[in-house]
Amino acid sequence: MSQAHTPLSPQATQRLTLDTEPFLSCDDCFDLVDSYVEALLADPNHDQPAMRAHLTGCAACAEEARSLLALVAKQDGLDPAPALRRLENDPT
Amino acid sequence: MGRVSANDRVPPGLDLVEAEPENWVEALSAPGPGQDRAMDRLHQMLLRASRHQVRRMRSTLAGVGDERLEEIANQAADEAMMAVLAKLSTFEGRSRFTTWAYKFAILQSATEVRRFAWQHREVELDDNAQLQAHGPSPASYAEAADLASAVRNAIDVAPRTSVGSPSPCSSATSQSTFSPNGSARTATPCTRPSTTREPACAPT
Repeated sequence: MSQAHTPLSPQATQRLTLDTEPFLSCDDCFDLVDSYVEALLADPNHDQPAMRAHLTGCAACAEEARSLLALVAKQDGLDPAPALRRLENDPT
Repeated sequence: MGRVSANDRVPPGLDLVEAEPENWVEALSAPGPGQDRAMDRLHQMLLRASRHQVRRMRSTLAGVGDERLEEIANQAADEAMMAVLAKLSTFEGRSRFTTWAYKFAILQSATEVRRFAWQHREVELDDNAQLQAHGPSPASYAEAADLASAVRNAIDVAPRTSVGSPSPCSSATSQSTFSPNGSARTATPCTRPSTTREPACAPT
């Protein structure tokens, strides 16, 4: 017998229905993440739609991108906050 | 040891004994003392990145001691070192070498942390959950396969009748031979593809 229906939360629904275009695989994302992170630290307004779309929907790749950005920013003595906001798709 | 030049960027916040190589790929590729120094420097960098990532994921490893965390970081740094050296020829200079190498350590560390976390995590199953498999059970499947094989064999050895065409596998026409692995050597009417391990016709 099936269990009682558990409705999806709005957040879960949003994650499941994200537009993944232009599509990038996790392997493609890994190949590009180093140059993407450096570009964001140099210019927080930098945009790569494919990377942004993938990182919005892939928690593992997003964490690794945030981690790399924080590490490189610390190494270079930069403030990571503006670039991190861009990484997290925060327009502010 | 190479002299530090104005072109060598020594990033702040790093504890360096010597400057980083101007060209990492060259330094890591050319055998000799320079390569050894470059390898040591690379491992230090990767270990630093691994420790950074393991610290970020600390909450995933609640209850794990510092010594074990350091082991995980070291293991990840070693794996990352191998990955970087294997992929050295793919470095295209679209970012700094250090940034490019760091991502290997971050990926390996994250993978090691998740693997460790799941190895030591219990997943409780709901005792009340009723999981029902769809489709035939293994016993039913075996029984059906035996029946199909028996029917096929019966058809194969059935005597000629005046109504239908003769059995393609009657003894007078059978010329099949079978190799030790059960497959037919010659193309004959008996060599029908079979989904079971039994040959289409019983060897005579």
